[in-house]
Amino acid sequence: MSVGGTALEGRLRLALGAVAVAGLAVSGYLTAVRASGGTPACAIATGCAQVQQSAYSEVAGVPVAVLGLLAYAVLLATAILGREAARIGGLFTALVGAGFSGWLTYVEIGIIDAVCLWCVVSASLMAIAVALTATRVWLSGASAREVAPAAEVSERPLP
Amino acid sequence: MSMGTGTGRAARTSRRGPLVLAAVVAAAVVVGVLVALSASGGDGDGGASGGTATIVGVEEVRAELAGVPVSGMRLGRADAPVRIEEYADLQCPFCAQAAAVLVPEIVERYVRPGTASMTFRPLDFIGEDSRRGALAAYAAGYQNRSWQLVEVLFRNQGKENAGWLSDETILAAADAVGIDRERLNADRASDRAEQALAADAAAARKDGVESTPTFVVSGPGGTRVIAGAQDIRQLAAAVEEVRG
Repeated sequence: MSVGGTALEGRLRLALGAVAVAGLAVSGYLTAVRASGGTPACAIATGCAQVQQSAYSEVAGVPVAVLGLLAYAVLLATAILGREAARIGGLFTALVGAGFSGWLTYVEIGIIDAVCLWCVVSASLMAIAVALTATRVWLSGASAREVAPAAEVSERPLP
Repeated sequence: MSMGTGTGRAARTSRRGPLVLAAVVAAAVVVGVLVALSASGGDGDGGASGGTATIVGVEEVRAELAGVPVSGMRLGRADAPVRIEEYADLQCPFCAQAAAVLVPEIVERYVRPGTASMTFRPLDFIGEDSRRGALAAYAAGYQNRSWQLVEVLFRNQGKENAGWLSDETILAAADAVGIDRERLNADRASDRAEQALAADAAAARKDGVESTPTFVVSGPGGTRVIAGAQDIRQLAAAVEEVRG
């Protein structure tokens, strides 16, 4: 196992963990705001009222803020776990999160005509998560390629 | 694939490649499903979304408002000690929820007995259709039918800016609650209605309204501002506090 690869993997996991915690904070806040009767307390961006009260703020009855909360919780778990399944699962979760966030951002700009700053922050976090998880998967593949020739070498008879 | 690449690598890549690909494809499928669910979200709620406007809930509204006087934008008696002002956008889903659950309860408990009056203050922050609806509400008010029209429109709400709050929907709802079309059309294009909308927007700013619905409850005992389609208990508590 390449030492450099492991250290980088560790740093990627740390960064992914930080992104997940930040995402949990944002989606947790939006979930709490929504639970309090749809009263947006976000003074920074006026669009929050419209976005949070829109019919697009739910998917099959589940508030999108709750979906975000779940996604970030899974991302955090994949950052903590070091197995192959965690790497692939992290990439999958980040891709779903970023893809759906992309759609919601389109809805904000194209349909509701109001942008919620918190939602944009979350969409950006998901985009960063895709970059981190993709690098993590690619890196572990690269280190596997490094390992393979080394294994061949070790099989040679020593002089 | 050549044989000289080493068994280790071949084993890793042959297992990994398809797995990563499967994760990407699965992610795309899940996103597709989520987007489809999201896009169809509000349509199932029975709102008229353009086309032929079929108006629902007329009887329900008739029963809700039966025997309660409507004057201009006010529902209830002018001498009621408590005044409840409702700031709402006709396109806002939480306002429709308030209209379905909260408002009938307030009317039953406080407006019909003469304890409180309610004044509808339409806002148009969601879009151009909200503005159309708001102007129609004032025009209906000039025929003392504002609450009838507003409550019926809320029961026929579709998605924001999806075109449901059209002239067609407004006129169909107006017909259903006995509003004179000709006068409605003249009044909703008038400066008077425009000025009323501007005045309510100014009042909303003054009252610090940040979201809809917002209920401003005032009486001899002071003023309470309640934001959101809250539980009836909160509104009831506010009414009890300010009635003096």
